[in-house]
Amino acid sequence: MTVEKTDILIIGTGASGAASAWNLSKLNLKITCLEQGPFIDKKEYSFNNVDREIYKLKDFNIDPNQRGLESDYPINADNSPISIANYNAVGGSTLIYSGHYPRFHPSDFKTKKIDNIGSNWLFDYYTLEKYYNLNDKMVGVSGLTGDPAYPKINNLLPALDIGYSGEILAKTFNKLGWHWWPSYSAVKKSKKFEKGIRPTAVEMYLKKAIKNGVIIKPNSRVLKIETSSKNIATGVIYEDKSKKKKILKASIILLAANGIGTPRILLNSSNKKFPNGLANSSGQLGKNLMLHPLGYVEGYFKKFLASNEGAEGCSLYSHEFYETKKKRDFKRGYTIQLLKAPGPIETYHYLKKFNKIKFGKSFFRDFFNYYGCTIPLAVICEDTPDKNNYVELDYTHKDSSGMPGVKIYYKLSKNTKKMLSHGINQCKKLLNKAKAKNVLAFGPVRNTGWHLVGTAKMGVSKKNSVVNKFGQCHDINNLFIIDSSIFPSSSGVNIASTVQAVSLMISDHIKENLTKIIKR
Amino acid sequence: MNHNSGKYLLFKRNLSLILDTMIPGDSFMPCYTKAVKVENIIQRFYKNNILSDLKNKPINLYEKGNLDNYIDILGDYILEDYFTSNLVIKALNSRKKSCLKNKKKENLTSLVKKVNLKKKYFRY
Repeated sequence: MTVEKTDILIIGTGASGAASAWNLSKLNLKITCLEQGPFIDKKEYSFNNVDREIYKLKDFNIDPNQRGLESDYPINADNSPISIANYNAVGGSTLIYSGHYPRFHPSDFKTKKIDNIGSNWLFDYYTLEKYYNLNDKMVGVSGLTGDPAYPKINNLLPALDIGYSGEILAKTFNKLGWHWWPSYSAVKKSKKFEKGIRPTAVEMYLKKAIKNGVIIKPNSRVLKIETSSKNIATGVIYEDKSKKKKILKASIILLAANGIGTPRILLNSSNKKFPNGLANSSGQLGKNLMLHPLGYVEGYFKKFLASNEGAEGCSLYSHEFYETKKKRDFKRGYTIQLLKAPGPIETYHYLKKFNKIKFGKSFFRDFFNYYGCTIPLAVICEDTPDKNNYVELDYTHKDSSGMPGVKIYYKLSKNTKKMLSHGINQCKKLLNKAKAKNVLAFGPVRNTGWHLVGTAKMGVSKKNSVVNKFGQCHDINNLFIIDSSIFPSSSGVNIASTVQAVSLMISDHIKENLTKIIKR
Repeated sequence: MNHNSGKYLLFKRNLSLILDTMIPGDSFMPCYTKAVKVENIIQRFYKNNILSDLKNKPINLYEKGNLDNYIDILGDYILEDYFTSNLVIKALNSRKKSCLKNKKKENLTSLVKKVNLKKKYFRY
């Protein structure tokens, strides 16, 4: 096998891998990123590509099992009401995400302490604040300062237009006296593009990292992390595009393959010392999977609201029900998001599914009776850690390199079920108050496992956690996990902003303690 | 595929008739063959045996079950081309402008002012 060398190796080039690649690129070291997916031209995945709706059904489908590309690995979700969504390419899932960029609440970092549920983090919001700010600057987050749901957030780009559907909803929130605010979004307003410009991890960080000398190797799948007898990670075995297996030796390894991909690599790296998976002396690796169960509520209005137009992603949100309240029968809470209504192709498929459209003279009457006339809302529920929700290797379904796929076992807790039901009911109330002619609701929605959290938990002791507060594996000193696997709690908001802030914090720690980490 | 052969021209004529019957257009939206080059669709279906009778005789869409049969075959495949054609994108935009012509937009700041800014929706 060919043997290559690097100083720092980053596995994965999505939101977290890209942020650390850029942050560490300022060091005078050789940094290499291995990515199992290809490098894709921006034109192909852009919001503004007219074929985007078609791509969403095919090569850019959020479900890896439906895409079944060479870069994907099978994820069996037969034992879960929610299936996994991801994307494997340079830039990771940021190629297909909505760009909604809220921060966690301060309370999300101490749910056990203040609400006696879930787990506490080993640092708080205010420790992370400077990294949130740095990340906002790098990403270009739009929004509006003064939101009463957060400590003050400054330096935002102009907020996105909330559209006519947003106006209707904002007025209804005001009537009910509920909190709402224009969304925090990684989508920039643009005169040229109505849908706005959404950067991915490539534009946010990777291009800058490459300029600073970082090497990106696409189509390179890590099969195994190798360690020495002294519990030091020595490098990885990976397979390149031509299916050649190679060894890449590194002094420090950062894992950034998300809450499913990271435990997959570690479980597949088991050895004599770690028979249950590398860095898994605690037995916690792969456990505590959290997914943000999502409820969908749609209000139908008998008029055109252009709700399918405007910037992608969420344009406004509410945290009225985010924090624990004694009078409710569940702890923690959820976000209500105003989503964009489906485009024309999705609209057609939806109407067809319910037999509400026919070709012929009535085609456009049926079509425009629905197209742009709905207000879709999402209820994003905070999930809590449970050791019975976990991932394991699936030896019956393997990827194109012969590496085992993943099986997930997941159930909604009683607390989450009550929360979801409450969220759906409040959204129904909201849409009825807004004078929707018809409201439909369901949840949990199956294809919504975007936020993969908790499977390599952070904690003080190696007895019950995988990493310390800096993502450093308790068992392997020069192995760091920098993605959402290490989050002890999930929050009730989209995670990209926190994923990148945490990644920047960990890579700062690595920069400051470089010699200490390598020496050990 | 000879573009001047009688079979090709008959296939094109029949297919155009079916497509425009399926999506006839309205005051804003163009009919199918105005928005999409029929040749693109022909390329996909010319060698398809199920549609081979379109090469042999003029089609009668009034015949019972005939149109439904073709809708089943062509259905979803033809829509992607239609909704991603420039003419249709323009038509959807002008329809939107026309529908929203008299709607007044409210200022975001004035809407936000009505949010209870004194109440804290988070805990430290």
